[in-house]
Amino acid sequence: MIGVASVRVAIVLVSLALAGCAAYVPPPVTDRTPAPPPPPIDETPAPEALPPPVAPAPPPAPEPEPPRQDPATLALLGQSQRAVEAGNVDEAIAYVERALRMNGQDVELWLRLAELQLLAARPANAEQLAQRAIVMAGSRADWQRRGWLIVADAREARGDREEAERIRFQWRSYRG
Amino acid sequence: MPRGDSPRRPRRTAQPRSRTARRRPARAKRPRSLAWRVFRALMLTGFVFGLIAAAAVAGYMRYLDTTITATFEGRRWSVPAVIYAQPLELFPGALLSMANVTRELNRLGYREATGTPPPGSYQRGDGSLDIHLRSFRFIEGPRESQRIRLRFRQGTLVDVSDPSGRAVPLIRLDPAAIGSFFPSHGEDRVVLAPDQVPPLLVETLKIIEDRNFDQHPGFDLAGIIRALWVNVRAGEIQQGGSTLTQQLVKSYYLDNRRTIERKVRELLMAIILDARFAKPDILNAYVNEIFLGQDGRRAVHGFGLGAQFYFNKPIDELGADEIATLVAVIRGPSFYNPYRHPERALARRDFVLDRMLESGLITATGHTAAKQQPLRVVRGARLGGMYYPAYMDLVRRRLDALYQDDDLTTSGLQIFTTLNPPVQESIEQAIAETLQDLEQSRKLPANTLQAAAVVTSIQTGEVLALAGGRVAGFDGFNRALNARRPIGSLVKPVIYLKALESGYNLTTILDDAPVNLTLNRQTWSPNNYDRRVYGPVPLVRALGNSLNLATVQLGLRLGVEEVADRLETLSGHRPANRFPSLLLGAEAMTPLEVAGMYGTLASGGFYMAPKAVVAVLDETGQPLSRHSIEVEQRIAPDVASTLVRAMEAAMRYGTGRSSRFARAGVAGKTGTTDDYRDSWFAGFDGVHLVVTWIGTDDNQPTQLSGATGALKVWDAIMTRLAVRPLHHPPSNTLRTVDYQSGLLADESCSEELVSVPVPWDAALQTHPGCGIYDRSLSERVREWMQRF
Repeated sequence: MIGVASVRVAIVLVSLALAGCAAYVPPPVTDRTPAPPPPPIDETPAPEALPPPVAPAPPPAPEPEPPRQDPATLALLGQSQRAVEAGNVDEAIAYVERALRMNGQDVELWLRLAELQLLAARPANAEQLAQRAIVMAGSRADWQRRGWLIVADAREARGDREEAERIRFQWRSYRG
Repeated sequence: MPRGDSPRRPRRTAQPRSRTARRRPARAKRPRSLAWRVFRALMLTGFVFGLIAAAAVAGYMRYLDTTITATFEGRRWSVPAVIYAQPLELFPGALLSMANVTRELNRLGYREATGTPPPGSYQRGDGSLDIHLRSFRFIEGPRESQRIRLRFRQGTLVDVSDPSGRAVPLIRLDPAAIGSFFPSHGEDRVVLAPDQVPPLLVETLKIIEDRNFDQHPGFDLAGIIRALWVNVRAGEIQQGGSTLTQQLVKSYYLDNRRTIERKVRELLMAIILDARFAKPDILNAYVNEIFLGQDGRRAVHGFGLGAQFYFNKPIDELGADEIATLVAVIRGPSFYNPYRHPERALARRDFVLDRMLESGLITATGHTAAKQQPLRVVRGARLGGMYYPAYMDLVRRRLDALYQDDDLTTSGLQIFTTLNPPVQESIEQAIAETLQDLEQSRKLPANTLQAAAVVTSIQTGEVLALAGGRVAGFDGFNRALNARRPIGSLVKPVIYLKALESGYNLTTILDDAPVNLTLNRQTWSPNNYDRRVYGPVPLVRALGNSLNLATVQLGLRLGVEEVADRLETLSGHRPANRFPSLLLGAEAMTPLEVAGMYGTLASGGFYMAPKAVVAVLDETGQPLSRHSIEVEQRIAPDVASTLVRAMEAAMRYGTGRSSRFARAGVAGKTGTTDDYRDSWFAGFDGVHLVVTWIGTDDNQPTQLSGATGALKVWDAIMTRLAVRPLHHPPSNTLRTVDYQSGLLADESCSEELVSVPVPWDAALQTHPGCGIYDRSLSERVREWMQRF
């Protein structure tokens, strides 16, 4: 809980440091190596030349994670997990896609799909799916982080170890 | 009775000769008489001719043998690929009314029953529905038949439970079989394995069509005589003399000429078949082959398809009366057509039921009950409605890339597709109704307009429905896949996308000014739709009102080549036109390609090839291929989102404003080509992307613009699908501006407000008459921070 609040503060500060970026997720498109988001914590340089930020009112008690997924989605995720454990990743993917057909806005399903594609040794598609989840994640830093870590793994799987490490370093202290 | 004739013929011709032979020696005792020599010469000649004839017959038999055996083997092992639609998912909270679910059940041939319903039936209660699901082999494995209870409240499925009352989180109906690939076009089968054929059907077939089937050698002399006797006594044709084997042969070659040669060939082939193959194999081939009726252009062959066609049920769910009806129809599918001649069909069915009772196949009680049933053939929910040739074209096209044609037609594949039958039905109805309305209101001759439509899921890129023309179920020219028509203003979002990527924003002022370009000594001077010139206009309005001049000015500045390349990355279609006219959509694309392009915008910048096939299983249920969701980012997310907002404004205040959903949170773009030859609309809400086209096949003017034609179809489709507003990723750069001027405004001074993302350091002017001032840089920073 504290984690979420402090991350929010950190994000604000870091974002200020990078004043100029409108959104804090840089859109990687044509670039072959998309820049990961600004590091969320650690380096928190005091903003200069900008009016001191009015301490952002701490958000009301960080909303407890609602049991966000409905029983149908949970059932499919459960079946998907069992398929993974039985060594059938393609079947696991089929379950998640079935859930996506019912609720395509569910960011966690897209994240899960990306993870499974990675597990199925299809890192290129995994990375793209993760990017899509990151876009859909909006301001949810925990989902963003999960998405970027998938991107990092996908990069590594494709031999781009340097970029993978860079992304991981930037998200390393965040605990969602 | 030509069947009996031919084997006897050689004997008959031989007899007179032998008689002569016996008489001659008795009359003339002198040997070597002239008569004797003549006789010997005749004998010799006869022998030689006999040898030649025998050789010819043997050769002919051999030829027949090869032909019939190849045909039989070929058909027997041709278990075609069966194509399935998406199954309906049932889960608590699903927006499904009891009517929705029973409609789907009826489509699948489930019937309403009482008591303990058998598999394939349902029972309605007060706000609840008990279903006995059939077993089905899904992608993930088989599901046994099982009972479930659904409870509904106010148009929502609120609860799913099993017989013991335990909650079921999720279960699906079996998917609708929407077709199969079989070698000869226009034919379709539901092929039954021997163990799938109800014994009652087999026995009934024998007693009605071929009593001695198990004994005879392919033809049945006793049967012929009996049939003759029965028919003479009855004064009408009640029985035929052809064996099942002969009927099977006849059906293979579907030749109704009554020539002796054909009869002989049929008979010989029947004998060969009988000698070569086991009786059960022949019977099974018969069950899958026999002609049972005509469904429009499609011949209904085999009892599997026949059961579906006449009763909309799988064969194992037929009652005795229904089996009797099918067997009754064999004698003359057109004479005993249950739809056209119900009284004849009913009389013949009762005749069959009487024979079934006589032979002890049914009990007296069963007989009485069956006879009390009406014909029970169904219309409405027939195969006509389950036959989606346009969508099947797409499936075939996708599969052609993956499989050899032989694999598709012979190895009994199960192919799972993305077709959503209720959505498909919606677009078919919407097209039919709207085109009729348009023709009436515009005083156009009936049936002059044609149409196409594609519906995809913006999340998964799956094609949920596809219409290739205005007549549903008509297997003709597929306009959705094959009609390449100029896309007109549908191209404009590509140019504005290029602009946004080049540093423009939605409030940037463009110049809507006359254009005169000379190319190859020809002057090109495009006009706006209303032939007016608007001068300076903000980008959002230039796109929203589809201003040609502003767009051409912009496109020329950005570069036609660049726009053409961008179009290619968005749609996968490489434009042939590399001239400025491309900027106004002088480039032909198919509705499906347009769906690919707009899908990229609708999904936040991720291209997904429109997908139709989810998975293919082989005959043992093992996946041969799976086609999971593949995405590829082709537009930066914030740019995609900005463009979508502009297309939302186009619906609200621009060319889409006549839509009944103009203010419902949908985005879209109209397209009209020269002289109103093509009327296009591409639009989406939070769930569906729908592309519609109206035009004529001979490319005549339609009098319809994108807004007055294709948008009407789009509206009719969206009405049926229920609109769910677009969902925008959060943005901290939104400013409220006046649509007409692009200047900062609020409710006090503008009635056409749009929320547009603007770079945070851009200073905006205020709309005249608005008492608002743009915030200072520090105010903007503070406001922006407070979002966290």
